[in-house]
Parts: sequence; C-alpha cells; structure tokens
Amino acid sequence: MKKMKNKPGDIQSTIMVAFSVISTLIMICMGMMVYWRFSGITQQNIVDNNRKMMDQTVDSIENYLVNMRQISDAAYYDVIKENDIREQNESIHKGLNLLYEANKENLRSIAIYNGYGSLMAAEPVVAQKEEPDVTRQGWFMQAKTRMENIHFSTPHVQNLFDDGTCRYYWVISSSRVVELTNGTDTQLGVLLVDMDYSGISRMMERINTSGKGQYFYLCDGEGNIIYHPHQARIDNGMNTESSVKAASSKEKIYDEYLGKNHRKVMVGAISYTGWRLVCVMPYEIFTNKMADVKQFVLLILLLMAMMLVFVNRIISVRISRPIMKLDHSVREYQEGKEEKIAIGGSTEIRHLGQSIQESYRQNSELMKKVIWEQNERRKSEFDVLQSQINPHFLYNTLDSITWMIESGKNEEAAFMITQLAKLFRISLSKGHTVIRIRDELQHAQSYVNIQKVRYKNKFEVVFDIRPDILDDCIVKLVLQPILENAINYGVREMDDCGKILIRGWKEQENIFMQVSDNGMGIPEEEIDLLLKDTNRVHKKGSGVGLVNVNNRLRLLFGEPYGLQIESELDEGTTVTVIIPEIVYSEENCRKFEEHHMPEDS
Amino acid sequence: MKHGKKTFVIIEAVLGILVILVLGFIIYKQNGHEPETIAVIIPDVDESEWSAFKYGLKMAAREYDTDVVIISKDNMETANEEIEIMNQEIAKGADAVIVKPIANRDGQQKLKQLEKSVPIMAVGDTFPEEPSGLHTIEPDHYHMGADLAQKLLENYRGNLIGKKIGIYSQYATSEAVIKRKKGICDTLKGSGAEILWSVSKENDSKEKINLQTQRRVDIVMALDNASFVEAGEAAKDNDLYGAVLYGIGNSTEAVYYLDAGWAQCLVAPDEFDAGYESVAELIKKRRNFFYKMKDRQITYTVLTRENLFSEENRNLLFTISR
Repeated sequence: MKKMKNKPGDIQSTIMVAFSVISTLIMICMGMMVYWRFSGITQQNIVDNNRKMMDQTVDSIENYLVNMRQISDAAYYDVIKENDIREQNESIHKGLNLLYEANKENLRSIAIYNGYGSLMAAEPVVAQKEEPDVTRQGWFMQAKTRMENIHFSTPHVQNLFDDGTCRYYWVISSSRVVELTNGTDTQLGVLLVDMDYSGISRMMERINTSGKGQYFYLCDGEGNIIYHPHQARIDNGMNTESSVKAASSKEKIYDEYLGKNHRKVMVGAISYTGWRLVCVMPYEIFTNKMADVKQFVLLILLLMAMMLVFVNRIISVRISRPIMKLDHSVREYQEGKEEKIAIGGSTEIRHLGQSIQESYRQNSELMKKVIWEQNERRKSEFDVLQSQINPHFLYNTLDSITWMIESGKNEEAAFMITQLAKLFRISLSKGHTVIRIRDELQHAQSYVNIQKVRYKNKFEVVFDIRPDILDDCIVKLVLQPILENAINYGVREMDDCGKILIRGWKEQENIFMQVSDNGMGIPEEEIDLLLKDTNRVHKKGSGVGLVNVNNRLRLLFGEPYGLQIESELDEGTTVTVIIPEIVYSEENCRKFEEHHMPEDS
Repeated sequence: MKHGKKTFVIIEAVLGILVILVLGFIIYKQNGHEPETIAVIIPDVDESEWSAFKYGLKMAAREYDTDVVIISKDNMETANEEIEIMNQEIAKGADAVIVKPIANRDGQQKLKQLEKSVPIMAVGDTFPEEPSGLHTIEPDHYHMGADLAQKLLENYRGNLIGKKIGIYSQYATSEAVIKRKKGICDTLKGSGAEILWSVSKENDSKEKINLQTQRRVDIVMALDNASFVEAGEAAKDNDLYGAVLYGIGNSTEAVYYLDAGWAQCLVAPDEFDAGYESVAELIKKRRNFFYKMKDRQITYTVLTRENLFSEENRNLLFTISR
C-alpha cells in the first residue's frame, strides 16, 4: 500500500485553517457555556414559577379545606351539640339548611348518621337510596377509626341520596365522629359533609392549563389520587403515576424516572389533611423551552463563524501576502523571468526579502565573474593554441630561405618570401580568428607552395574545392597543420609520386574539407592519439599536431564538429574537417569570436 | 492562492445558507403553527351517552394541543346530509374528522372518497361492508351482545325455558345493533328462551314503535343506550309489566336505572377511550405522513348493581358522569 504523504499547504491556508479551528473551538465553547447558563436559568425559572403556582394553589386548597372544616365545626358545635337529635330535629334541619344554603356552591350535602349508620338528618332534603349501608363506606369507617379527627376521603361517587335527576355527583367527604344528644343520653354518630369535587377540580384545572407536558396532581398521604389531569387514562391503565413515592417523599423536589421519562417532581404538603400537591415537570419542557435559545445561539454562532472566516481570511491574506509575493518573486527569479525580489510587509519579512535579494545579487556577480574568468581562460587558451603555429613554421621556412640565398637561388628565395608574406597576411587576418574558406585555401596554397619549394616538388598537391563554399566561415590555420602532417608523415619521403588532394564540399548544412595523401598511412592505434594526446612529441614538422586543430574547431563550433581521420597503412591518410555551414559576414564573424564561442563551449 | 479563495467563498456560501435556513426556521416558529382542528360530527352528541366520549376528546385535545369542534345537528338522518356537513367542515378548515357514520353502502363509499382529502375516524357505529376500508374505533359489538346474554343466563342459572324475550333497539339498520343482536341470539340458542319480538324504534316502515304496545315478555334486552334508557323509564313507570331489563348503554341515566333496580345488567362500552383514541390516531396521522392509522377496539364492562360502585368501575362512572 502506498503511504500517503502530507503535502505541505501554503502559508495562507495554514494560517486560515489554524485561525478558523481555534476560533471555531472558542465559539463552540462559548456557545455551550451560554447555552448551559441559559438552560440553568430557564430551568430555575420554570421551577420557581411552578413553585409559586403550587404555593398559591396549596393556599387555595387549604383555605377551601379550612372552610369545609369550619362548616363541619359549625354543624357540630352550633347545630348538633346545641340541639337534641330527637326532640329538636326541626332546629337541626334549620341549622343544617342555613349552613348548606350559605355554602352550597361548594357543598353537595350535609348529613348526620347515628352509630349504626342510620340517617338522622340531611340537607338538602332528598330521598335516601335504598339500603345504602353507610357503615361499609370508607368515610364512615375512617371517622369511626380515629374519632378525634376530621377525615377527608378521596373523590368518590356519592351513593347516598336519590334526587331523581339521574345524575351522579363526585364528592370529597369530610367525616367526623360527633356526640348526638338524645334526651338525657348521648350517643356517637358521624357527621358527613360532602364537598363537591368540582370545587377542587376547578382549582386544579386552573393550574393545569399549560398543556406543555407539565402538570399538577393531588393525592392523599398514602398516594391515592384525588385529582389528576390524566385520571381516566391512569384508571384505564394507559398511564401510570408515581403518587405513592411523591406522598412518601421527604424531599420537596427531586428527579425521577417514570418508565423512560426523566422528570423533575416538586411536592407541596397541604396541612391537616396530609394531602400532597405534586408538580411534575418532564425534562422535555426544559429542552423545549430551550429550543428557542438553542436556535438563537446557533444563529449567533453561524453569524460569528461567517464573520470570523471573513476576518481570518483578511488577517491571513495580510500576513501571508508579503511572504507569497516574496516566494513568487524568488520563483520568478529562479525561472529567470524576473530579477527583482519583492520586498514588503512586516520588518522581519522585509529583512528576509532584502537578505535574499542581496544574496542573489552577490551570487549573480559571482557567477558573472566566474563566467568572465572562464571566457578569459578559454580565450587565452585559444590564442595560445593559435600562436603555437607561427614560431615553428617561421623557423623552418626562414631556414629554407636562408639555405636558398646561400645557394644563390634568389628567385626561388624571393618566391618563398612572397608566399611567406601571403601566409602571414592571412595568418594575421587583422586579428580575426574566423576567416573565409577562400582565404584559408589561399593560406594553404601559400603553405603548399613554400613546402614544395622546400622539398623540390617531390609531391603533387591538387585542390578540388566546390566554389559554393568559398565564402563560408572557417577557423583560420586549419588546413595548414593537416597539410603539414600530410607532407611530413605522408608524401615527403616518397620519390616524386607523393600526392595530396585537398577537397572541399557542402553536405546537409555542413562543410567538409578533406586532405588526402597517398603516403604510408598511420597505424590504427595512433589515429586516436592524434586527436587526443596533447603531450605527444612531434618528431617532424612544426610540432603543432592535429590535436591543436581539433581543439580549436570544437572550441569555436562545438562538440559535434572537428576532425575525422581515416588511414590505412601503405594506402594513405585522409583527414576531414567538418564545420557548420555559416556564410561569412562581419556580424557572424564577430558573433563567433566574441559570444558564441565561449557559450557553445 | 486561487484554491484558498475558492474554499473561502464556498465556506462563506455554506454558512450563509445555514444562516438563512436557521433564520427562516426561527421566523416560522415565531409565527407559530395553528393547532389542528378536528371536526366531530355526531347527530345526537348532546345526549348524556356521549359524555364520556366528549371527555375523552377533551383530554386528548389538551394532551395533543389541538382544537376539537363538535358539530351536532338535529334531524340528520341520511348519509348525504352527514357527508354535506363533513364537506362544510373541511371547507372551513377541519384537518380531520371524527364521525358517527349513518351507515349505508352509498355513505360508506362517499366517506372513502372523502378520506382521500382528510383522515377520518368512524365511531359509534360500524359499516355494512367489511372490511370497510375506513378506520373505526368501536367495541366488539357481537361479544357485547353475547356477554349480555351470558349474564342473563348466569342470573337464571342457565335455565331460560319458557322465558320470553323482547329485543329493543333504536335503529333497525344500525350495523352495531345487528351484531349485538346476533351475539345475543347465538348465546341464547338452546337456552330454552324464546325471542318473542325484536323491534326498533325507528325502522324502514317509519312506524313509531313503543314498548307498551308490545306483547308481554319476561325479559327485555335493550341493544343501545337510547333504547335502554327508554326501557328503564318504562320499567320505572311499570310499563314493562314486570319484565326485567338487560341492556347496553353508557349514560348516567342508564347507570341510574341499574342503580335504582329498574335494570338487572348494563354492558357499558368505554367511550372515554373511544374519544381519546380517535383524536390520538388522527393527530398521529396528521403529524406523521407515513403513520398508518389503526382500527381500535375499545373495552366494555358488564355492570350490575353489585359491582356498580366498586373500585374497578370507578373510572367508568367517573368518565360517564363528567
């Protein structure tokens, strides 16, 4: 598997990504902190509001129950105790009627039963149901069990009277044991005050209007439900309620799980009765309440993110632009497009730019110097190569002229001097290195003429030059060393049968100058040395070898050009000069001599 | 450089779109969505037999934060009239309809057509064709009749030889009544009892029937609340000539006649559950397009004087007497 390598990003992206990541993290942290803080406050507000509502409702229920107790007290102390149950029945009815009429909005009935469950008096006066058997009803039994208290029952259908309306009333019964005066005797009975359940349910419905999941319910001290907004569903078994836990809880507020529902429960105690008013707050209501805050926080975070990305972009661009420019200018410099280094931005980056620019300037100067020195070195090397020719040849020729004069061959000496003069005129060529082929051939002709005089025409030289190459360029003094070699090593020793053929022609933009002799030839192992071995000692001739010519040609025209040598022993040798076809002109000549030569080399 | 700029533009564009979406959502929420309106079309909804049902509607409406509009129109006797009222309510903006179907095949087809535009829940009666293709919440009518007859058999220790029975109902064409009657007949088969008459107050002949004119029987079985109440009243006035009353009903009047001893047994369906569940089903459908509404069967209780005020039946009395 190929390993993924992290490609370094550009500085601007790096800065922007780093800024964005940091700012995003900060924003998220801030958002969460704000959300938690708001969440806590909202939750506390909901709990506080419900607590206030619960306190008010507890007060209302307590007042309601106190009123009921006062009715019960009034019925007992002002009516029952003051009258004889047998003899003053009318007064009792009157007293109960007064109480009933004064409180009938909240009362369903007031009734007095003796200890055996027989109805002694009731208000309003309606028919009692057949065989109600009150002694088996809860309120009666409770009253008899703990005689000192007033007891409040859970809601139930009043199953005592038949008012003929075919209706069933839900009541909460308050019952107490009372002493009934019966002549001189007293007997125990039970006073029943049936409160209309709608009084309690109205109070409870008033605080159960939010409809957002939270609700209040009322239960007695044992967890029996007195009012619950989902009463019917609880009775059906479709809902459940943890009323027993709420009734027995010592804490006023606690968290619980009912099934999967996480809820906060607040319990308020209603005095005297032991009833509990319970507020249930599912945690959903807190989260629902926080939904608006959540969306608002999200909106703020998104807007901040937009702004931060924008600001980050500006900052990263401002920081990175000078660096990018510097980098760009360095690249341009490296590609040779621009030599100026961009300098800008902060002090550090400016300093960096200036340093790079100074470094490049120094480098450039150094390079120029190196190139100049190299050129100079090559030029001097070229000049040295070229100047090697003159002393050798001059020495030999002058030696020949001296010999002729001494021998009285003045005409021949004069011819020699004339040819020598021509030779030198072309050698000098006003200091030019590159000359026309025509002049080079003239130079070769002069040299051959001198040599033929020297060697008494022991060999024949034939020129076969195509006229269309005469005006092309050639490095001067190329043919002469070749001819020198051909004469000294080829034909000089032959008896009047030596032959040198000088040919010149053009082929595929190259010019070929060929010097062939029919001499003894060169051994194969020496051919390579002729062109490469610069330390080779020349036994004959001027001492300037073909190495010299080859080097000069390559220095001037480049690597592909130079000399080729072909030789066979006892057959002869052919040396070919290969140069590019360049028409001679002042401009080309100057170009070669000044510029191209160093660069190409 | 260009890549960085492109990324910057894309990020800003994405954030911009998110801002617009969140802003749109907040504005949408601030404007608030109207609570759904459920039209309840029941001809005789003011009768006390619907008290528990209406209490169930109220509780469910509070629970699901929705509006329930109850439409009751006297003399609504044909399916066409009912469909017309439903159309009116839908035109007024009702999002769903609870209806007591006036059952006939034509009406059933029209309800099916209407259900394509709004969800409909049928209560109180059933359809002539089954499966109806409409959603209903109702008790098991056949078994209600069967259990009522079973109670009769229990009270007579299985011996009904020579006993004459009269069956009384409000509507002869009611599918619920037909099923209940079948349940009774199937259960009493072989018991020795003779069903002397079976009449409906409102029938195809349009002839008004009353109990006093019927031949004397030992047992009267009332198959719906209205006929039970009427029979109870007749028993109270001694117009049943000593016949004992068994029946099906769910009103305080029906309970009263049982409590007062004018009836022996009352089978009471849990109409609170019907009201609550019908709203719940429709709301679930409204709020979740993919929700598949279900038919629901509500429970019923066999009430006698002995168990009427028992703790088990406390809830039934509570909902009926609301």
